[in-house]
Amino acid sequence: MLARVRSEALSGLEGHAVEVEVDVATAAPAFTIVGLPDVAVQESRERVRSAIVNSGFRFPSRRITVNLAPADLRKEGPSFDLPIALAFLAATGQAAWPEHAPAALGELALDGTLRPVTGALAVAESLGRRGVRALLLPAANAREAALVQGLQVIGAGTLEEAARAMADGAPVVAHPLSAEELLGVRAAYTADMADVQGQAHAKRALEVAAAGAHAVLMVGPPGSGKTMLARRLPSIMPPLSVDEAVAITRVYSVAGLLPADQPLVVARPFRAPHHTISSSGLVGGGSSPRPGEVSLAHLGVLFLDEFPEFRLAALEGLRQPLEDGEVTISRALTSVTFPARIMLVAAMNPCPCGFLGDRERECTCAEHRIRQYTSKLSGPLLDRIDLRIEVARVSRLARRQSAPREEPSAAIAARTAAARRRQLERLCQSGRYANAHMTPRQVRQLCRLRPDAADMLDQAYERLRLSARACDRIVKVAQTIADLEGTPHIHAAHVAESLSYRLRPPGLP
Amino acid sequence: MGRGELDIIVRCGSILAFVEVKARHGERCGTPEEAVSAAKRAQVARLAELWLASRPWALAGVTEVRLDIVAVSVRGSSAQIRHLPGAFSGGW
Repeated sequence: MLARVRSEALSGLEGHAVEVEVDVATAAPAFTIVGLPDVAVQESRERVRSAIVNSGFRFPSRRITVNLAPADLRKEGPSFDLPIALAFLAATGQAAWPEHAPAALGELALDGTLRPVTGALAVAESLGRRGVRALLLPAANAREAALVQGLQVIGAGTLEEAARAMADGAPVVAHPLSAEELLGVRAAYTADMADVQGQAHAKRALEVAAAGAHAVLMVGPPGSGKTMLARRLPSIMPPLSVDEAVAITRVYSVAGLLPADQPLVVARPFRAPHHTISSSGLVGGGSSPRPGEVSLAHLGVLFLDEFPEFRLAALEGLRQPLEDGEVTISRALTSVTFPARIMLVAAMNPCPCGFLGDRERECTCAEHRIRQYTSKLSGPLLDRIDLRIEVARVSRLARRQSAPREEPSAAIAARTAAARRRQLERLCQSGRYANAHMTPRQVRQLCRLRPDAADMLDQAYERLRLSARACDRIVKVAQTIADLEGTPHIHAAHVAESLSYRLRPPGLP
Repeated sequence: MGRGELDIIVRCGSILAFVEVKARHGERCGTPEEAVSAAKRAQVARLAELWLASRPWALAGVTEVRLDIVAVSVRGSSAQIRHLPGAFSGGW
């Protein structure tokens, strides 16, 4: 007898319909899976067999042929265990599986319990788009999949429950989740800008950067608070919208990093990979490509501490994602695209010992060592960093004198959110979402400089011998500052502030 | 392709079984069940397919086809016999 169960395969974040067909024939016993399965799918036979027997069903000795259609699509991972088992039960008459039954996916344990799978949200969205009405999957994935509106989600704990869900016609339905509610309830960030004393200049620069999604480079001696500031950056970025939260969750779900008790990522990600990271670890890779750190930092912050210590190949790999907001990973058989709209925050010491330009301690580095240290940051990458700031150490005295109450993150986030709204209004037709991503043409068309601002820019162009691209960056940052202030035009003061964020800290090329 | 032999082909009601009989003297080299290697199992499965292919009538009234092992442990003058119904199946 033949039975069919619908399922779904993911390549990257993109879903493809897969039909799981099981044929049970009276012939010399065999259990074969065809349809371009990888090793994990081949091993599914052992899990399915044990799970069926240990769930109290019969595994008759016949020839069982499993076909995963379409045959030219590579099938990976253990998520076909459940559809194979269900189709088998239907084919052997042990369970009903009507034509309009839900699609199914899930990994089976040998005792028949269902283990969570990765990418449930992306699968659910893809099924929903294709008009599938219901999805049966492991209970641990149900809440995540329930974020998709209009799709009935059935969570089952075991194979037996999954089989019964159909027979009884009274499925265990997980209630649809509202992303709005999940976002509203949680206090998302534990670290607050108010924890950082002093550093007003750096904080203001980060506020500008957060408002316009500009990349930042912080240069300062060890212990000056670069990491502390960067960690708090997500909390001053515009609050997550529902769509953004779902977009982040999709990536985390595919990467298998979604915590079991948390169906939705409610905070902007902060990723701080170690400087020994490989290029495929940073941008994503593998023979069946997985998202890298740039994609895990999607809509959040990618913090690269000890910036010059990173491998050159890894840093160069960042150029495409910084430009396009996504990474495309091509392999012999597949090419997948992951989103990567990141805010890049880099930090470095001014020199190998860390104290070049420090007010209290003397630098002990030889001249050529400093040059060697900074030479790695060659043009193309530095070109994509809009703000370069110095983060000096705060002396004990200054720390004691500083305002007793620093501004909390929420207040700053309200300002950056307002500024971002103005940018979106201006950029809405272009598909871009922040000033940092404007094209040179958009800069000319959309950024309106008042005459005094234009004069100042011309002067700076002459005196600092700026390139045209550097000029564009200054205008972009000035535009963000104007957006923070809420003025329609860019004033001279905005250009002046923008210029202050590109002064070369000592030691930088 | 068709090399080797089938030890026992037996029909019991609606079940048709191909039985591989394996005997071992003592336990020094492991149990007789263990001695039925993956290659041997694949061979028996293949031979069963071939046997069925040339005798389509053999499946009439049959609902299950099994590959069994009968293990014989010989100890001195006595022997122990164990029957493992559906001990293995063919396929990849």
